[in-house]
Amino acid sequence: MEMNDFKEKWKKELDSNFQFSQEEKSQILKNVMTGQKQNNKIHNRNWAYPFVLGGFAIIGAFLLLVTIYNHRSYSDMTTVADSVQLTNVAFSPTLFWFLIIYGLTGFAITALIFTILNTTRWRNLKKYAQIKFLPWFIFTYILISVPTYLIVDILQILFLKLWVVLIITALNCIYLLWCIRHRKQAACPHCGNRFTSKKIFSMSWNSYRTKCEYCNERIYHSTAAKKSNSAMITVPLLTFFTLSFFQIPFPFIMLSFLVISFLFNLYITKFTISYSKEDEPLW
Amino acid sequence: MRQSIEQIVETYSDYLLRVAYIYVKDRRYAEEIVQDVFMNFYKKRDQFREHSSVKTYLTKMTVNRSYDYLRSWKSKKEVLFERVGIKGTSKNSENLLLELEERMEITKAVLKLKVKYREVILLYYYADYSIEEIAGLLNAPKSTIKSRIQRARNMLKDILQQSDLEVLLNGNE
Repeated sequence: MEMNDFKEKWKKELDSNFQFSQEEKSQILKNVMTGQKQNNKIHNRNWAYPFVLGGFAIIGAFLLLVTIYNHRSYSDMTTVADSVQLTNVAFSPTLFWFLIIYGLTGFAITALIFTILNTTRWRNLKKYAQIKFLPWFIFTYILISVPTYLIVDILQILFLKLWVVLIITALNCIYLLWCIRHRKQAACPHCGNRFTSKKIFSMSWNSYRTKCEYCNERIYHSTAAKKSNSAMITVPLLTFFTLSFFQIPFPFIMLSFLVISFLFNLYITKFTISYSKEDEPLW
Repeated sequence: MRQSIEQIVETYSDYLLRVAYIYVKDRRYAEEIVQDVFMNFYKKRDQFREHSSVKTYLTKMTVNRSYDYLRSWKSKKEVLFERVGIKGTSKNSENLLLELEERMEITKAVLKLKVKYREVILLYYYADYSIEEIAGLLNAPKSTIKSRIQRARNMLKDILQQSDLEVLLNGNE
């Protein structure tokens, strides 16, 4: 029968081409008995894919909602300064701005203190951040609320926006400092010598490979460093992107961008860069 | 349990490798699936109540594990890379297919089918299960299995049309 021919031929094909060797069977048996898995790749889920795809989906949905809400295109929306109507808010604009600025300032100061306390390189500064200073800190923070409120009442909305941008810039800088709190300056993977800040700065612009100034061996940027740099800089970039939805003038965002870029290039990269002996694949 | 784990590995490992390969189209992952299946079987051997044969029980575990792999991001990524023409670091199914082109024409044709069709073809023609047994294994009605086998057979006929092998599928059953 013809179908039997197909069956027989296929069985023959599979049986002759797919089989374990005796060593492989013994290895399976050994793994089964010891309960150890070897090179299990199926469970190695890559977090980056759901994370990145989810991120794009959220940003897409957000842009869609904003566009529908404003009844205008995305490009128009960023240039017109009336999509957030402060007069619609139940309380006065002064109180609104005061709460934003005061809250953000408090958060920035607290974040800075925690960053300083947790940074390994700044152990000496810990003596200035003791628990006995906490009441003074709270008192001062409450005290500055009065001048803050008065200033908010006097200043024009443009300056208030600049103020908010400056606080957000400071928060971004604190975030970057927090990311490098336990890191040391890069060292050569061959000889172990630590590079100077000046050398790291010059080497950081050489994006592929370079040579160690001490042992003259070839060194490559490590994949971990590249990934960590990209992940770190994403947060400030997202804040610039978000700020554009709140009618913040472009020069203010540019100012924030420049401040963070300088900090990142001149200081943060000293600690984020690391080198490896071989050229590692990016993923 | 009448058979020892050594006997079970010796008897069913090759068969399970073929089953897993037809699902995942990648020998390395098929090998891992088989290893996982034996490990789970050994760990949960007390739960096996011998309502079905060991072969059926292991086949069901392999099918489930293969579906786990097909649902994983790793599998989806490889499929995506294959579709856009980027060859990954792994030896993907396309490369293996090219290698096997000459000596495995029927398998190559079966692998071109969608998973729901190739699984019924595999279980019906290779594993020699009846339609009732396949329906039980895949948790699907008998009529669905029957129609899938029929459609799979027609598709195979189209794929094999270029080769002399189409004659093999011209029969009704």
